[in-house]
Amino acid sequence: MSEDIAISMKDVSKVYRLYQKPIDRLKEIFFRTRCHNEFVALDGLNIRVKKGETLGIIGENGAGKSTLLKIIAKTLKPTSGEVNMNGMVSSLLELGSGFHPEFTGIDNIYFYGSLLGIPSSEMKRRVQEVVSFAEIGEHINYPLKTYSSGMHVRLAFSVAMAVEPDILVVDEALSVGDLYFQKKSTDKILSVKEKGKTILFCSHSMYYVNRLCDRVIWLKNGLIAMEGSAHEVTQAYETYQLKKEAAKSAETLERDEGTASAASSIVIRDVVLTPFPNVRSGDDLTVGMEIMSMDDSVPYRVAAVLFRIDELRIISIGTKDHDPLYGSRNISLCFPALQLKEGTFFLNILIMDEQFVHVYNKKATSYFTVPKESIEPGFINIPYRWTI
Amino acid sequence: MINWLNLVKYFLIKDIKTRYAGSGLGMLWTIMMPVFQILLYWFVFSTVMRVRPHSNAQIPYVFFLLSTYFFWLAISEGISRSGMTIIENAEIVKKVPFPIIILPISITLSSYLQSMVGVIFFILAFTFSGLSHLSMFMIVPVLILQLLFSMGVGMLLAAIIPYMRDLQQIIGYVLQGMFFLSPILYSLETVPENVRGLTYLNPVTLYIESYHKIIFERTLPGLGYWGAMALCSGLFLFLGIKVFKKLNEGFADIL
Repeated sequence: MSEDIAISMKDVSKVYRLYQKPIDRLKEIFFRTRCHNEFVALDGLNIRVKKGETLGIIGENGAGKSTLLKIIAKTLKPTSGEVNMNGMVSSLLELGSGFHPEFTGIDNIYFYGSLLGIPSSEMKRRVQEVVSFAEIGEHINYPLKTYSSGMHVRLAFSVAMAVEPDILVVDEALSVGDLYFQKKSTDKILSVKEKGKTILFCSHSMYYVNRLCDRVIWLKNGLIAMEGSAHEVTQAYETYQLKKEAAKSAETLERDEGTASAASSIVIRDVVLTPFPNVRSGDDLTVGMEIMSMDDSVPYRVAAVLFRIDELRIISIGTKDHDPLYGSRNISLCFPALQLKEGTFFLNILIMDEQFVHVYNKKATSYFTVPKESIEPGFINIPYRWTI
Repeated sequence: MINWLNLVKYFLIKDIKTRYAGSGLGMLWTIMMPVFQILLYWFVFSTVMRVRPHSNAQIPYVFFLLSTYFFWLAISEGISRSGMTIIENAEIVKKVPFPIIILPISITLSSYLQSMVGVIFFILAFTFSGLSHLSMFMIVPVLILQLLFSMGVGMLLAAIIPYMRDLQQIIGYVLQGMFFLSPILYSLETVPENVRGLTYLNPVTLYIESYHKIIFERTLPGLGYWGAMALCSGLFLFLGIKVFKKLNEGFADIL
């Protein structure tokens, strides 16, 4: 294997054998008889990851993502094929699974290090770093069983990162702990990337995949469905997902075929609110929308529904006075001198057919907050006049 | 290699910590329960049944019992706990890549370490009665051979039991049989000559009898004994490692 390749997988397959009883497995090992049903999770994958590259892995549930990551993290042996790796692997797959409840935080750091084969002299050097990153204070000297689950994952994340891996395997681990620590852990992963380490990243969040990955592999039923730049692949995957969703709802609603295919081809790519996240009563609130259509011949209209955070519907606004739209467009909706008084709100943007009957695509905006400025309660201004 | 030792050390501490977590008397339990057991045997055999289970009249029966009971305890604990170790640690076996064979090794060591507290207790009591002698140090090589034997059997069972969990039920009875069929409660000379050969089918007899020879007769066991012990330990260790390596890969599929 050449020096600049971090991971190379050749014809890697994983076939799960499903046994009815554990003893059937024993019979197989000794008597070479077949007593199982097979499930193919990975089907002859060829993957090469360069050093310093961040490879994203996307796919639906059961596509084989976790199996692939586990094989790279060495907790699973492939049924056939060859896996070669340059450098040490650490995984954020099963955070804290090597920990022991009776050990103190410090002991667990050493214990985990030696499970992964790091000498304790080396761990001694890093332990301070782990402790300060995890930020669990005095608790580090108490047994793990006294930890809250948040502290537990903090410590687990910190240890997994402190082993200074050459190859880092991340599976949706960005949702670690509270918001503060989530940010911190994401930054940490980014800094690992900047140091030129290899990262394998698996997530359902296309945003993160786009943000982090240089190259993305889309797995489907244990095969590579698509491989390429992050942007290309995530877009194709999102389109596929939408199509699938549309096909599903088409089935249930028994729509005609024309609408079903139209539904799948128009997507709201992005919605941007300005100002954000705080809007003062009387400001001009602008909602910018980026709409992508694969089929320029399908007409559509756009609707926006303003909600209060408790999903109280305040107003629905459609482009009914405009001609139907065609093709990809950037449009915006403005609320001049916003007449909301106080509270937290959001909008639902909908792409619909010309009659406002079918919803092709839907996207909610983030929440925005209007601060209270009047002593009179209520959340909306409507024109009024007293006669006294 | 250093890391291996490190890992064994951590698993040892982990095992001992888990064992005595929240117990007030801690290590004392490892002596108290066996001593109580021995007093029971002593009472039943020499007071109630009034048998003379051993031939050496100068040695009180209770010392006879104490001399090998803790060694036996190490074997029986090591074996029965090794058998469960893979299932008990299923989480890390499945999720963390490390040499799994360390599990039965460290569980066996842990059982030995704890039983050795009892052995030291015996040696102290024996010395206090003015009966000990320097050549007793020869029990150390026997102990090492016995440890290797235990480890081998432990690995063997640790590997097989995840596949055949009901085996664990039988092990208790098999161990009990081995206990009564080895010269722990009685000396070998009291076994009728026509069946004495049979007791050698039990490998534990070899080790137990060697301890008796060293401690009470102040002689070394014959070359035949050493040869048989080395063969037995080597064989089981070899078999244990081989079978474990073979069955190792299937753990992830069945746990």
